[in-house]
Amino acid sequence: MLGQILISGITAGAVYALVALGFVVLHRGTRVVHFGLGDQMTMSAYVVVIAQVFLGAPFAIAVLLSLGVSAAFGVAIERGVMRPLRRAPLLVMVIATLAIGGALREGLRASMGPLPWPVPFLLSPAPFTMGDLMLVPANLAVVGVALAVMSGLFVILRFTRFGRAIVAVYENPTGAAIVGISVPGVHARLWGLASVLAAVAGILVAPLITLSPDMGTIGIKGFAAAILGGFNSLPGAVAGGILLGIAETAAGVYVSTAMKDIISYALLILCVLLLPRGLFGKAESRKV
Amino acid sequence: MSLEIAGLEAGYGSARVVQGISFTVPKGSIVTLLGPNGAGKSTTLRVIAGLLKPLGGSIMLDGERLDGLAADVVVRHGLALVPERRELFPSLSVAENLALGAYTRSDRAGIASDLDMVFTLFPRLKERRQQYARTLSGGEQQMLAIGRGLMSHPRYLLLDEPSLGLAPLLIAEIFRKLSDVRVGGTAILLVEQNALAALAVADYGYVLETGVVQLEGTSASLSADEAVRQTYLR
Repeated sequence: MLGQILISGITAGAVYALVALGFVVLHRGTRVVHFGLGDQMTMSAYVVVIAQVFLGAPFAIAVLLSLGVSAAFGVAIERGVMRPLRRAPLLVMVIATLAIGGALREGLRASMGPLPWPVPFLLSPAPFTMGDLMLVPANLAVVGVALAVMSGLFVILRFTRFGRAIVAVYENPTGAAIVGISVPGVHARLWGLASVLAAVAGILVAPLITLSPDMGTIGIKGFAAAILGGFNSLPGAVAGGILLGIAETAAGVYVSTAMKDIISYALLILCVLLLPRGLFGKAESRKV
Repeated sequence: MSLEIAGLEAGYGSARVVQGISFTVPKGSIVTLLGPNGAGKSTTLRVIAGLLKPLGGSIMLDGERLDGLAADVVVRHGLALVPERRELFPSLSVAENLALGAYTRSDRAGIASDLDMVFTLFPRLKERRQQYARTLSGGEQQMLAIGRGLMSHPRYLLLDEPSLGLAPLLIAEIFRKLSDVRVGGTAILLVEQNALAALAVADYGYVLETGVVQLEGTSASLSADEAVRQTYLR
């Protein structure tokens, strides 16, 4: 039973971890909490459906198109909304992200209708057994893809010029500017990157739950996972996501399925009250 | 060939901290800006480096106009700032900080030889190259900040209060190194409150007070000037 909970929990947790990474990647560099991230998940899944159903594109092409559209949308938010607001108080920017999320959600409801759309699975949803464990290929694919994307992100940050510039801005924006890094340019990259992370999460999770304009409310779980992980630590975001997924599944099994969704809000509140730096957050070290 | 500042005005909000100052840093020289706290020295450097937009005047670097350019563009023109607060990358290693100093460059051989030059200048940095910047002492952090600035291979290096918070022995060591940097062909614009140390290495100096140049002259003449001695050299 425990093994089964872990496996189901990790599947959900992998998706939360991706969204949590999106929140943290963006917040560490820009200080903005993007409350429209969940709705960007929804949008990316719809783009896949639109490309497949209306344009007849094969699945792989539809996914690539969706990732491209998401990245461009993220950069467009930075250029079109955040850059003009750069001298505004942080709260104004955060409110703008809420507006962006709302506009996306209602735009999708108006254009695609309020009813759920079927989304194809990456692999078969039919379970098979291995020992005592019941495994679902579709779920394993979710975990596999999420792991690959996370590893890719860490490699990019550690070893590429693109990633080093991001790390430098995380560490010290003034220091980054004087060595020749364009801080606004990095902000645009971060918006693109966070949007792609949300898009991958959205495309992975849409077949498992239902794709409707309100699917983005699942983004709040990514937010809770990010808080759990300290909100400024990338490994913390991943750990927070996995923990939240497992806690949620365990609550669903041992308490009641109705508890499943409450648990993330409960953890969110507990964490803010008792562990304001999360499980993995470091104290802000702005000064050298 | 020089860095030429003419009629520079700058400030924050409605406070005009720099009120039309002019000075020149000839190629390969060391020039110092002296003056009390609040005279506008740091603000002047921040404006030249592109961290703050000027409100008036001009900044010419070897014939190119720099004023109004952003900091990340200014460094590509051959001018690097070593800021007062050092602005290092605390959870990156010494080696990574230095590598980011060369962010604008792609000539691998040149970067490697400049890294050797920085390690020769500050052997301490070589010993500690795997350590996180935040674990360094104040003096080592200052060395790292100067080294990072040099890694962009600047023709002009702007130094803001390098002696701040350091022990006298260390100040002497760092200032000795500045002459070595100049031998390498890099001109230095040095902002200092420690006028004695600054005039000892500089060729020429300007004394700023409340945002204007009060006095200028060769280091020898400023060191001999009675007013300067009384105010700054005690």
